[in-house]
Amino acid sequence: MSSSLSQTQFEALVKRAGLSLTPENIADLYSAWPHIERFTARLRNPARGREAEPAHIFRPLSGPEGA
Amino acid sequence: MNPFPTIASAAADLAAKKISPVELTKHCLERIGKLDGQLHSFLMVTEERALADARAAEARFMEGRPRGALDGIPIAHKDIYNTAGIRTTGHSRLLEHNVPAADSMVVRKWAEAGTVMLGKLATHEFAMGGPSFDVPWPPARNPWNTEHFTSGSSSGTGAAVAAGLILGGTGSDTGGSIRGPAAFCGIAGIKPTYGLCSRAGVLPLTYSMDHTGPLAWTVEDCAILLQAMAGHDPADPASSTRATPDLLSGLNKGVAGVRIGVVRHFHETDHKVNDTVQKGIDDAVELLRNQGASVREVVLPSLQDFQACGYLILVSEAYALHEKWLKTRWNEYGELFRDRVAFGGLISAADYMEAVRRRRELQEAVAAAMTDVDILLTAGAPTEAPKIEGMPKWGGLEKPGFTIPFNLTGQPAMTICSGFGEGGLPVGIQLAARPFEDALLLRVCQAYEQATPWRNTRPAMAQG
Repeated sequence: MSSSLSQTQFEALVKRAGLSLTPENIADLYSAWPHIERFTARLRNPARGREAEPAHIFRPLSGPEGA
Repeated sequence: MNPFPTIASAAADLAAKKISPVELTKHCLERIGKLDGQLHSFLMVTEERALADARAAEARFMEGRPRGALDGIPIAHKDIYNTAGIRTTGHSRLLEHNVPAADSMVVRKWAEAGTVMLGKLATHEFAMGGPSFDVPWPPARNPWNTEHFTSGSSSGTGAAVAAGLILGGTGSDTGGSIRGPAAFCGIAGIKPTYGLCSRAGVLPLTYSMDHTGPLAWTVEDCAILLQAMAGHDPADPASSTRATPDLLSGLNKGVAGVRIGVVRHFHETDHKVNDTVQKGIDDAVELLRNQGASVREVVLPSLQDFQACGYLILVSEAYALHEKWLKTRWNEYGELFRDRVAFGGLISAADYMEAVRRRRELQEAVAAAMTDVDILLTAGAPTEAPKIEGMPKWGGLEKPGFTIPFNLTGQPAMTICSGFGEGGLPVGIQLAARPFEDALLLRVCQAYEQATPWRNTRPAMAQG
């Protein structure tokens, strides 16, 4: 399994997150990154319409729904 | 004294004054002293506190005013539960010297119920990164074979209960951290409905998936412990305001009329279990059917869908909690925790939003599938416990676990022993009920447990 990102692109992602990692740390995380890409792709299949908003809502009253 | 009292049997013996709380506590302390050098289930033994608790309980019994089934019962807490004046580390170098000022709500409730606190139990670092050998304390070992893994992260609780060092203990469960150790250590562990038990004062990992719950040798003992944990707590924003249910109300009522749905594709296709686990599931189906339950197959979204959704939410929220320290104190974490959680800093906000939307879809799919079944049944873990050395760092990314679906849906789920396999290591089945039907779940699990011989066997090392 390979990543859609090159290792250089992945290093840029790590730098953007503000993590100061060794080359060994980065290489190790990069080796597992394809699994994360597989997960993020799976979440989008099947695709939802932009009007589909089943979860991210705000309730002005405190307390969990249905509690 | 019975070397392996359960909470229920000890409570009866205490009430009948056949044993005293001090005798029972000393019995557990002796076992800890004798066996825990091999198990590493405790990070700290609080002997003075335990004896003081035991003497106070003994005084209540002598005065004829015991507090109930947990008065004088020796327990211990996973070391993510804050304990006032007693170190609470999260099994991490970052909190090596952390001494909370106040008890967590659950610790307080169990203390008020009269429990005797024996100490603080091993976990995986911050309830996620394990088994780690590069943190200040070693990982807990499985009493059925100390070369093997306990699962986690409630690893110390699993080991200590199975070996008979404690009668019960606290765990937490964000992706399976109660039910995993219950399966590998051959005990009972329940992740209750999200919101039933307070998380206030417990080190968080993932706010929207963290649950607190108990582990014990039997289902009945879990019910007793859970009853004393449950109830609304305004300090936990997720805490339910429903009236606290009677969690012991279903015990000893059997399974006649209960409708059970077997999620066969979870354990036969999505992540095929080994023969011992499969036999445990098949035998359980047969047993429950013979006892009067109706059984049919249920189809849910695939385990891979739950894994993708759960993992992304878990590491995103965990990263948000640990971001500051991951940026400034990276090398003080154990390798497993920091590397697994680091992905949360690399995932986009859009990824997280898609995961949250998928979560609601998965929740609705499970609810729809349960319109005509009361209980779901599948595996607790795919195999017996593997060896603790050489556990793959990214194993959790490769094959989906059986437990995370119910962290996403928030419904109660319990793992209980369903037999023994290679090398005498236990295996477990997992059952789940609708949200807030924890009492029904306990009822069905206890009916299975009472009809099987698995509670008659303890680890060989614990006999010595």
